[in-house]
Amino acid sequence: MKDYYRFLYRCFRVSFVGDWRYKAWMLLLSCIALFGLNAYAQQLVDGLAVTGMTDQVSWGLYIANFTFLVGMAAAAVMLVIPVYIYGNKDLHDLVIFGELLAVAAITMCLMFVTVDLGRPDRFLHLFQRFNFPGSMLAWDVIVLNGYLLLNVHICGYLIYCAYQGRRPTKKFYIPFVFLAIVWAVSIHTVTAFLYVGLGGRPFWNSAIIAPRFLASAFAAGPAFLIIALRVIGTQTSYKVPRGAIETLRKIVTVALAVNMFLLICEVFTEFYTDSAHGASAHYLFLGLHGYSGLVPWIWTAIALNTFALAVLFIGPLARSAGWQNLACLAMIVGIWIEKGMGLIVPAFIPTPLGEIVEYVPTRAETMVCLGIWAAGLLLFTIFVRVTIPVLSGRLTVDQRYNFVSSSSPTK
Amino acid sequence: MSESNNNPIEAPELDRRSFLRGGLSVAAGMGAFVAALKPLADMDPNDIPSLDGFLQKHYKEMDEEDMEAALKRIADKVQARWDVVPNVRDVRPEEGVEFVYALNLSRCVGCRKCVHACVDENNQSRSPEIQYIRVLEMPRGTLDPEKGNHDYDRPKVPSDDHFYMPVQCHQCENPPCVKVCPVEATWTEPDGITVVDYDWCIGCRYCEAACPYWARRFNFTEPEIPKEELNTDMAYLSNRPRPKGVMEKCTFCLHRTREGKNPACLEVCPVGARKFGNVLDPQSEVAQILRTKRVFVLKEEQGTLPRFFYYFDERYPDKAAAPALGAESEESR
Amino acid sequence: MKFIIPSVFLALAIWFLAISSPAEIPIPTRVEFDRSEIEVVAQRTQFPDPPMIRQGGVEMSCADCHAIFDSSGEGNTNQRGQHQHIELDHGMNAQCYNCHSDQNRNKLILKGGEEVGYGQVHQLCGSCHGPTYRDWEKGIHGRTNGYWDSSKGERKRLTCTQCHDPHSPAFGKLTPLPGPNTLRMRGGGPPDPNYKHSSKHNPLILKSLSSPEAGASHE
Repeated sequence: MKDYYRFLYRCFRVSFVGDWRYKAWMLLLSCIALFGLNAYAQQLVDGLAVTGMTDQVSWGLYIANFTFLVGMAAAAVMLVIPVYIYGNKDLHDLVIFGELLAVAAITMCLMFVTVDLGRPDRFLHLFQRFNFPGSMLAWDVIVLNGYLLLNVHICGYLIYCAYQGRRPTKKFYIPFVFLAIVWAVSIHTVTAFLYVGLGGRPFWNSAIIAPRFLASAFAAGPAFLIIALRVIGTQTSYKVPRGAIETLRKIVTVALAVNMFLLICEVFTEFYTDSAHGASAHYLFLGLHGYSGLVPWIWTAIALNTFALAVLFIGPLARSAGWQNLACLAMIVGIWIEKGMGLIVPAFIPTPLGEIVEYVPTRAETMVCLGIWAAGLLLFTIFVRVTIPVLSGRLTVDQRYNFVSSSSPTK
Repeated sequence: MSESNNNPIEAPELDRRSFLRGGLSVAAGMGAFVAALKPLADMDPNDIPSLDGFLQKHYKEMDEEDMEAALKRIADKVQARWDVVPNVRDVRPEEGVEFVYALNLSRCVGCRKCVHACVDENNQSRSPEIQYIRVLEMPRGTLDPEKGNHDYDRPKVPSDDHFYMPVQCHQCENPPCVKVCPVEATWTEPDGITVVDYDWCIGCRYCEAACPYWARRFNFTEPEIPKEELNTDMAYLSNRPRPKGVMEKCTFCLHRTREGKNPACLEVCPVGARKFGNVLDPQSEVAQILRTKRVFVLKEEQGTLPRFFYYFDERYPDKAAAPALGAESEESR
Repeated sequence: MKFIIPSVFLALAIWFLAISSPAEIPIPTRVEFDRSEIEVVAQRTQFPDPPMIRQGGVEMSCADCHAIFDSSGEGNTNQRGQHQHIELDHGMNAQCYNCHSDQNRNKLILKGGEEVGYGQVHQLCGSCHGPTYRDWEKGIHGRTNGYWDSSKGERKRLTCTQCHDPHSPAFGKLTPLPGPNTLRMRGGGPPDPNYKHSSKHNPLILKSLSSPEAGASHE
């Protein structure tokens, strides 16, 4: 036990060490996180009126980001499945990065849910009267926290074993890895069911939302990992296997194509049927009764995703690291819009009584979102910063870590 | 970076100067953190729950003593804020009563008196504005609320080309809002009224997303009620002032109706379009309406089984369409 | 360069403490209206039975006056005598003695010639407006004030003439109270000025019915 505390302490120390680029990156993230904290403090005092949300559009950027990040967290399975089901060797050592991303993403999710609450001080009520299994939000609380624990356990165990220089005992982590695979699918499915189950919101009340969520998550998550691994591979001493990114690229391509296909299915259903239930889709894609606040958003998303898909399909471009990074970035932004401004917000416009009130995020709301993202990236950077020397055997229980010679930044 | 001296092997590169610099960074970071929390200094002390308030149980778990304490806390808060002594109590449902509302769309003229009488009775926030009732001006040929106009602003109502459809909480028998609440802060009472425990709600607004009638409202900021307009006749589950950050909704004025009175929206209606009563009593007005009129509910396909019914009289109330003198049918207008 | 991190944090702290200002919440101002509009009152005061009026400081019934002044004759819209202020707009029912007894001005008269007091005006109205009367008897038509539960308090059923002017029974138009003006409701872009809440898809609507006011106030 004493060893373990020492391990945590050493990890804590390592996270402060790096060259100027690492420090600049961390400083930037810290400052943004503090801006977010400042905006949230104002929200606590004045209430959610500081956000752009209204009774008409009662969920906005917070829930949008939450939804996107649940997907990022679920995407860890896209590394786990090839390794533990198909025996892919290249990805084997990288699984841990996917799981670290999951931990950071889930932490962000929980932060986004918390800032969305009108009364975060009554958080404990969840433990006193928990509407399970009635409320999908109750399910979500369980699956998200469960997934967080699973991944913390798997990562923590593997890293600690590496630190101690011993082989991990299979029975302590393999069952959890397989459980996490199922669990990852469940977190995003439950999050989709959160919306799908509402008959009063026809835009969400569609069985295709859950598969769409998974497809877009399996595109955006691995896309983020491609970029992160590139940074790790070029900026640190850690060797990212050459085949790993190639495998991820294939996953991303297929997932993005499936996502686009499902979007087309949705659009066809809404527009060909042309029933009154298509009002939100009309508002989103074309504008409704002269209101068109979301139209630029969704077409930007579609343009970005189409661009990314085109790049990934064109062989020479797809193999170029630069184009690949660009495509990944484009699809991350595209999917972020598609799941947020393109899925959460339009369901509220028009309201069930046909009123149209548009949603525009406020400065405070945007700052809180950026702050949470910064905090999450800060967390992920620290995880990676600590993990790399441990995995490469330069920070172990009986070896003092030489900071000077290996001050290896991650970003 | 913290104390390097306790752990010399871990930080070989830490000489005194860099330690100083590290310490300074941490201190400045802490300073910035505290400074970022500056807005909290403006927090209204009344917003911070007292320990008793924080530990208050769910409505259904409170015994008489707990309820008395809770009511006292409410009364104290009202007195502190508005300097009036409220009559705040917990009104329980009666056995053998199930409330039903019926609204005659042939009669409603769209004057919005009900909207404002409701606000007056139920202590909703005046600014920002919270109203439980929305009156839709409907074009002919449709019952789809999405075709209604919320903002009609003509000098005189009714318009000859429209009818008017007020919408408020339908007190569903199968309420989607209750189903989704993660903390059971909202539930349906035995007399059919769906209520919110304002002291239990965590403000996630899932119920607001779930309601197909857009009947729920959220206190995005501290509700404001002028002292002279505060209704001091209050009940725990209905019209006591709400804190910010919680949901609220129409309760059929349960502090009135559970004591035999009619809801405020009904009393003020100048044309008698609104009808309320105990549907289990076959002689009640609403029971007779359900028996004799062709009633319908809004969005029946949602399966919500509303306790709020709409009906029409035999004729469209359109003076312009009525032939001139001599051809008056048996219905006046 | 060595103190860049502390200085950045310090600058940030100064920003938070001294420079940054909280965002304003655009809370819409309340639209005022005359609060007497939402007082619970009957639309009209009803005559007592027998009907009494105060004229020149003297309380007298209808019959008291009509005992002095002769008012026999047709009794139609053209012969309103002292009652010029009465606006008669009751469809084909345009003769005074259709409803008023020409023998006893304190009474109303039913179709069969039977006289009823002003307190029983619903019998008179009901003699023509059958379905409405049937609904009114059950409480379906008309206003009920007070208590729904008559064991707890008085259930005040209003009678016909407490809402309707018997001489011109159709309700006049009302000025609506202010419409919704909720938080950030006008926050989005401006709506299409050409948009109308159209009902032209409805084939049942006759052109002749659309009055000039239709669609006047739509956004």
